[in-house]
Amino acid sequence: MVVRHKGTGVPKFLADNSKAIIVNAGDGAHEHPTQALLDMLTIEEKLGTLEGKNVTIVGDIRHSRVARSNLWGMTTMGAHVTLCGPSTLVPRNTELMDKVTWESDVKKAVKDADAIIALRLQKERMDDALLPSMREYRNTFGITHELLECAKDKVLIMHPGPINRGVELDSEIADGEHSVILDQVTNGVAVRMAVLYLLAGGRANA
Amino acid sequence: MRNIILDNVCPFVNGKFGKPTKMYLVDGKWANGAPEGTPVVDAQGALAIPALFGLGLDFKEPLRDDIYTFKDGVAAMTRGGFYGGLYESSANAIDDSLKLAAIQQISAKYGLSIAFLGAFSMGYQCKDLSEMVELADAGVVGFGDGNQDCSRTRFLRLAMEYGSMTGKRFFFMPLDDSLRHHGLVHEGSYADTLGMKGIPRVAETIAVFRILEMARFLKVPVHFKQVSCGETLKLIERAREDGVDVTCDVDIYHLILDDSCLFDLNSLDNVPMPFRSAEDREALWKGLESGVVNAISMNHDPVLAQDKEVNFEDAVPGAVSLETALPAIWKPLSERLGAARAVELLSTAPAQLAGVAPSKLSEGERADLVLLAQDSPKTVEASMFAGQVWNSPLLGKQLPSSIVGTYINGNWTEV
Repeated sequence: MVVRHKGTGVPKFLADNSKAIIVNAGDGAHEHPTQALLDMLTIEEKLGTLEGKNVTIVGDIRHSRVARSNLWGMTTMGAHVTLCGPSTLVPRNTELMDKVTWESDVKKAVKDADAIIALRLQKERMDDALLPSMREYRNTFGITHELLECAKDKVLIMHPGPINRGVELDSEIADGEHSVILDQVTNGVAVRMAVLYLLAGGRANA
Repeated sequence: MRNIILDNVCPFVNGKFGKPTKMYLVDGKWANGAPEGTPVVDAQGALAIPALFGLGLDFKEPLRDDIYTFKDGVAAMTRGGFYGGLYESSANAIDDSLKLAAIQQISAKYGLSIAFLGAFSMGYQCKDLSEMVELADAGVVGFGDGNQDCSRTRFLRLAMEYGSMTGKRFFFMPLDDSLRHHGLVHEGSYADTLGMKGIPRVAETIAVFRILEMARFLKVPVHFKQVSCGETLKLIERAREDGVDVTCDVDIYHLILDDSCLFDLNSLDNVPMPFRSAEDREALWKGLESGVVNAISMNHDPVLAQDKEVNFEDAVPGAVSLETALPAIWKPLSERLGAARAVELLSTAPAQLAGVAPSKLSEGERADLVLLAQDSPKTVEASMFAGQVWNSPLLGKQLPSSIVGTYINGNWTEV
């Protein structure tokens, strides 16, 4: 059973109460394991390894299951993860997430990055008074040509999709030489096929 | 007049007033001589005090320039001896960078050191955040509430949390609107005797406590404007001991008046933060002595005559202060706290809160000063005020001192 649900822990609840094999396709702001797997595969494909690489995730960390799955997965694989976002959109209590670096200045956050993952900004965040405007978000945290001048020449640009072009990521960057977003999409199909294949193979603990 | 020689003047230098001397004020500086023909003023032993810095300026322009303009405000500053101030207009929320640029442009015409508070919410409505990052980049020195209660605590949290990225201080006039509940005066025996709706002290202390807790939680620096009661100072002192970055000011009139003035039923005594009891007034003075209070604020808030020439409860709250502040407060302040602390509370400390360079007198340096005859009483008249307003609680009252003239931004103005 493939489950995507707004509630944190629903896949676990189902796994605890069913004989079916459960694939978590995203539960609340908790986890999105296959997204993390495809992100890690993409970086490994491009850079050879995650070991020792710097990965910076920029955006709405507080509400992001992608960020949470990536921080556990990537740090386990030896990468150094930096998280950056507006103060209303990053968690305040980070003691249990101490394997990562928290940086409020986006220029500093991207400076040594080998890969930058921009997160999608939900428009609901404005309605909920978490941000003043898309405009200020782009000016402060958007991945733009100017921002990339602070980053390494060969930095990878990633995004879990769908993109708000001109908000968290400018089009020229999303479609530019640094972007590996289409590779992420391709790898997403492969990773999810692999997950289903392995799980359907009858190995309950795979 | 650009240049002037002040003869027989006592300048405030290095924390004290010097012996009577001659000051050559040339091209905005205290020079060691003046061109031939420079006019001379016999100061007759008057004090040359570093020009003041006014917290709480509201000149109404552009949206309410029918009441008052920036030009009026600058005239009031010049007459009262202010070289700068912190601007926050309840009528004109500076909630985007275009509004800030417009008001900066108006201000720049006059050459005074005016800093601006941005609004942390659009239109002070506490519904939508303003673009605080851009406002900070464009030069606001902090973020304010426009003297309006932000009753939505979650919004308050988000505003302070978002604004924390800028490192700027948040300025609040602490008054819980639901506890104010149409009250206009201090809830005490005078209000009860007169049958007027009162504002209890807890309307202030509850608002202060809520903001202090938020500041502690979010580690955001905060400032309380126009603190009016002793209980608030205790809360601030305790929070400071706990490491909260909190500053506060008291309004000049709260040091002069208390709620006993209500018996006059004078609508000029109708101000946004009510005059509280004599005990509270004394607690504020003690707060100045102990250092709990950082600065004395002006809260210059012009109101048209037609809105004051009505009964107390129908009058628009607000008071102008710039023209009369120094002659009203100097003697009691300097006699009780000393001249150095008086200058600090009226000039250097408020400037520091606004991030503006202090005014100081030193030979060879830029000089902005106000010349005060401290033992020359003067009665406050409507004609002393700039613009078309005169809404001062001190109207008709005698001040212990009088201003002889001011030298601000390189111009001598005889008052």
